[in-house]
Amino acid sequence: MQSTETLDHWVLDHEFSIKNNHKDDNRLIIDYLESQIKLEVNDPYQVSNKTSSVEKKNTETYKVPKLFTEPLPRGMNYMTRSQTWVGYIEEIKNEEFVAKLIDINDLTTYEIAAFDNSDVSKGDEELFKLGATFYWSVTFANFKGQRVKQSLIRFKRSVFIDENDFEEIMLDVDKLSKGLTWD
Amino acid sequence: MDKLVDDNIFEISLIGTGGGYGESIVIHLGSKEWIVIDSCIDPKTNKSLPLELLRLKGVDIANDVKLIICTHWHDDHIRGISDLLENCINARFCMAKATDTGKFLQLVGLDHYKAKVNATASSTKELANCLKIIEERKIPIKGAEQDKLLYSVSNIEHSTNVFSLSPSDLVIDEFNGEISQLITDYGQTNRKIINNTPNEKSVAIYIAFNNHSVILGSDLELSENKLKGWKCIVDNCSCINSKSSLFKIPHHGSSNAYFKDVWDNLLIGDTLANITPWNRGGKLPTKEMLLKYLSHTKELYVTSPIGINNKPKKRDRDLQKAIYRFNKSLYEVKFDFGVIQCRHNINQKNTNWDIELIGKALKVLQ
Repeated sequence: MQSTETLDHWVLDHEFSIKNNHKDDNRLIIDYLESQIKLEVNDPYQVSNKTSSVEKKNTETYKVPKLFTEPLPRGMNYMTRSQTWVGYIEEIKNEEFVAKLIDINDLTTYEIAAFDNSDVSKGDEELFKLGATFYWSVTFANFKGQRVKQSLIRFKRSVFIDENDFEEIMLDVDKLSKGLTWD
Repeated sequence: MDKLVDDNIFEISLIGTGGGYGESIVIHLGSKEWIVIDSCIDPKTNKSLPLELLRLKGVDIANDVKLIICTHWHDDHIRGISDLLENCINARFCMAKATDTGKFLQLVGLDHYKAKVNATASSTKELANCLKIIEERKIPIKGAEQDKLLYSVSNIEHSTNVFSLSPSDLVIDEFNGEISQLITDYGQTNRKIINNTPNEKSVAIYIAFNNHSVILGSDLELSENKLKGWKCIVDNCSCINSKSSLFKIPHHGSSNAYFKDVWDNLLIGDTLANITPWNRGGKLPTKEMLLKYLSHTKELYVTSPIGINNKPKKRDRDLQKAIYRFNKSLYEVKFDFGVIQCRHNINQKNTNWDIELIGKALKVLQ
């Protein structure tokens, strides 16, 4: 049983309010599905000819339903190549913001870039603040048979801290606090 | 680089990375006793550069490193510091005192949790790791404040004393209110903790050895308030008893860290002055500031050239073209490693320093 004090804590209030926005959860599911499909559809014409199988530890082989049974129409939209960064907003000016960017495929040195504030989608506006985390992707895609280049910015949603997580953090903090002294 | 350091040599090695990946200072106080101020990393290996330097010098890291000072928890001063502390088993850990420790730890704990689940890039992850190590070792943290003796070496031949010059009492008191604000901000969405004024809380260091002294300015800035920053040090610090012959210029040589009274009252003429440049965005120091520093000293050194690389990382040509089409401003923050190594015989009366420039470090000429 959580104490009233804990349940009333501002972190929980806030995180719950974020969690209750189910639109975000749905979006994450869609993102996940999209990423799975992206993996499978990288070369759709090959996928249709593959025999999919999964090896289990005991070496038994199970047939898995094929994702596509017929060749995909040439007009299908899919991504051919992409470059993604994780960005952290370091400065917001009148018309642009400056961010530190980490290439997810090369975590060594980082990059800096300025973006127009108008590049932020309406749905992300409330997340657009100093210190906010976002993803920037530049992709080559096939759109109805045409090769197109796209630039996408999407802001990261909040992490959910439930009461158990919160209690655990506070217990750790208490333990640490008792164990630390200053001189 | 000379590997062995004689017992009677006072040595300061200022490590710079061009700004983006941090700075650190490794100091031999004499008699095989070492201290380290801040930490930075090589982004390709993620290794703590001061730790690597100590290894290269053949220092008995576990026994001879006595103190690690974290001047403030900005990314460019703290990266790799927990790895450093882990290896320096006998070292004490020093940072600016937080009067409300409980609240401070709550902030660090919550931020660390978010970092663990990859919700943000934590500013306090390194600090959280250090605090865990300290708790396990059951050794008190040295709380830095104005005029506090942090470490002392004393023998027949020489005595060396390390003092903190900041933060002032007022800054320490104000920090409590600031933590509350940071916690409130932290609770909002997906944000990394942005600490707007940590430079006020930076720990500036004064080291006196025999008849000589050095001032290491960290990122401490000038404040309008006489009870904060450099004004407070010039007016109130009683531990400073001689003019210094070496100055680590604060905050990458920025104009808001420059205070003429420091040069006039606390430093000798033509003092040896070292800067770690910040080659990002508004690069530091500016030409105007370099000229100002050169008006005070002919002995001005930087850990790497000053100037911004304007190219992104190398990628596939088609991709590079597409990236350029969408964003022309993208550039890579280069890792420019350089060390300014300064040595002084503790028993010598003159103020001459032997200087060795390593990597990209260079002297600034008028």
